[in-house]
Amino acid sequence: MVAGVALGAYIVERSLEIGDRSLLVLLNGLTAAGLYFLMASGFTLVFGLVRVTNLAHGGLYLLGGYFALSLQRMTGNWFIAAGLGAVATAGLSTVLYVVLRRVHGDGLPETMLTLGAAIVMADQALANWGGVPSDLEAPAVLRGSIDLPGSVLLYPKFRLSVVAMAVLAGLCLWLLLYRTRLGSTIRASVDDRDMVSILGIRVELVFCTVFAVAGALAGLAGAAGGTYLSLAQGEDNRILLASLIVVIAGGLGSIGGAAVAAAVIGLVEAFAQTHHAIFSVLITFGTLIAILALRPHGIFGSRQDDRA
Amino acid sequence: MESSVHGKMTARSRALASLAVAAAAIAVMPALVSDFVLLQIAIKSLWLGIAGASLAFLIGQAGLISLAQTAVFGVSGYVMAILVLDHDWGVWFAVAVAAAAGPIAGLIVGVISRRTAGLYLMMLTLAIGVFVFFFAQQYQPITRGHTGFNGFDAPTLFGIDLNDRRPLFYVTAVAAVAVVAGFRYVMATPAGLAYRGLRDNPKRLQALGYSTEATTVSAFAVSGFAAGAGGVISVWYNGAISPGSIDLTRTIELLIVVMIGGTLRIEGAFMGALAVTLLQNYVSDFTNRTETLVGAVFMVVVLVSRQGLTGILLGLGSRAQRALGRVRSRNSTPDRSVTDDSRRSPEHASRAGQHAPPQ
Repeated sequence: MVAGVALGAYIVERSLEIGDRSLLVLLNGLTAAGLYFLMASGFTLVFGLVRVTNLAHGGLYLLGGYFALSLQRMTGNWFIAAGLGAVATAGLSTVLYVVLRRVHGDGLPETMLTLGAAIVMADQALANWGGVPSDLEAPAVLRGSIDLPGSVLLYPKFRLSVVAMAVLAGLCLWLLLYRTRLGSTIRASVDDRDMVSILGIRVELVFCTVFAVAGALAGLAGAAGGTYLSLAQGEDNRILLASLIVVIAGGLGSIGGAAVAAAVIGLVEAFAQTHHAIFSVLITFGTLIAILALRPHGIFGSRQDDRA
Repeated sequence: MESSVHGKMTARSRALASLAVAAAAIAVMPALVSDFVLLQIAIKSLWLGIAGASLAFLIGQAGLISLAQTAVFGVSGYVMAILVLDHDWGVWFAVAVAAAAGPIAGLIVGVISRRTAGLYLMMLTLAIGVFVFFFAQQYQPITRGHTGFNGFDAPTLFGIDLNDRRPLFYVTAVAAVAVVAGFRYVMATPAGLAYRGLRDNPKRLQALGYSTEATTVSAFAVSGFAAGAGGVISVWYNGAISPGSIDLTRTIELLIVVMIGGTLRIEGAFMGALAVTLLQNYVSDFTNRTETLVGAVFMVVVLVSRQGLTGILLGLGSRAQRALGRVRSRNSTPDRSVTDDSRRSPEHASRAGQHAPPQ
């Protein structure tokens, strides 16, 4: 009898523990997914439009985080810092576009140029902010943790707000792309760049805007990532790889695909890190390979991009 | 008929002549330069050039821009270090296995990415490359994680210790010449023609009955020989290998070596390696921001010319040749029988090297 009660209590406790753990995995996964989406949406937008794999996107993330860090030390306000940081990376991204315009190729020389820019950015980050990992302080409103309903766990408010931020950014992007004139121009340029330019629209300006938007999103992601993770050497490459995986899995050029793939990859990665820490990278890549095996062009990719 | 025999003979005698020049240069090099230059510049740019040659082959011949060559390079280096330092293998057995690991790793990269081209290939190989990096960093039981392997002693060859500068230089130089000769041989075979077909027009290659996938895979495997050799020699040279030797920065550095050198010729990789090594060594006297400079130089090279230093040099060369030809043609009719690859002007080659424009 006593043994039965003890066993029952043990089972309840275990399942609660497992439940708590799954909840944690879920939340960690969604947080990561939020960050990945902020990165991947800009990346995939740029690719869809200009056929450039912007390998400096990770550099923009890192610099955005560092800009925000310095601005926060100056102003003391996270939101101002993150906002201005995003404006700065949007500017950098625009400059990058102006440089890229000087080569006319099939995307390869442009991609090479972004590689060079990535190196310069990483080295400048090291020069100006040093090699010691540092992080931003979360804004006062979002500091501390909240109780998770139905469990004994606490979860940092800021991490949850990253998910909210990503959803908000996704919503804004959707509104921009599907409810504004600029958005329909962007979508038309993805489908047929030449036709749009024949219609008398300055396609370069559209491209420039897209680069700025992508840069701003990367900068924002840098501020967010720099707050709940940290800013350090090599972070740019880590986040670049993650967003690359998300973009490939989601289908190049598809923002919906980026959202779905960010969720899938984020959750799988969180699960793998909790349960099989040493195999986490293998499991993430396994997911990518599985997705590509089932859908060779990504979740929402189209066939026409077979051999670019 | 007669003229083609004549052409072949000139090609062969030219190859022999360049081999003789290379051998002479290698032989006198250690006597001419200081030990510092020999170690820090000559040997370094030779092994970097060997690794670069594998990428120059992929890009210049097959049109495959791979970012996984550093991974192949790293696999060979790691295999040798693991076998010697953790499993007490004899060095030369380990070297043999590591040398075989290069083409095998290349084959695997090729199999994974055989259906892709252009940007997609670049992204997929980048993912593979970074995956190998993370593997090296995280799988401590096999790769010793972050620190990697230190204290690797270069082997002795016929009783000569390769830890010494001069023997190491000679061995590396011979390997470099072998790599160049090997690639040139492959380029002259029908397979080499198929690689160029893959670069210029995959659809037509397919229409001729070739499998583009098999061609891609074999190009990766062939390039793996050189990447693996570069990896092995780099471990001899550095005495160490760690995830830092194969991270994204190194991957980009290799690409920079190749792009600065130019992909018209395999030898361009060595020029690029020399340029990058010189930059890294001498600019660090003035500033710590060598990476910024390397990145900026790379961007300028891409902006100015897609053919790098070899393109610039060949352009000057063909201009000189034309001027010479003009002088000669006053005396006799010019010999137009030699139409091998090396006579193509860089402008023409660059046009052929470009991929089909996007639809």
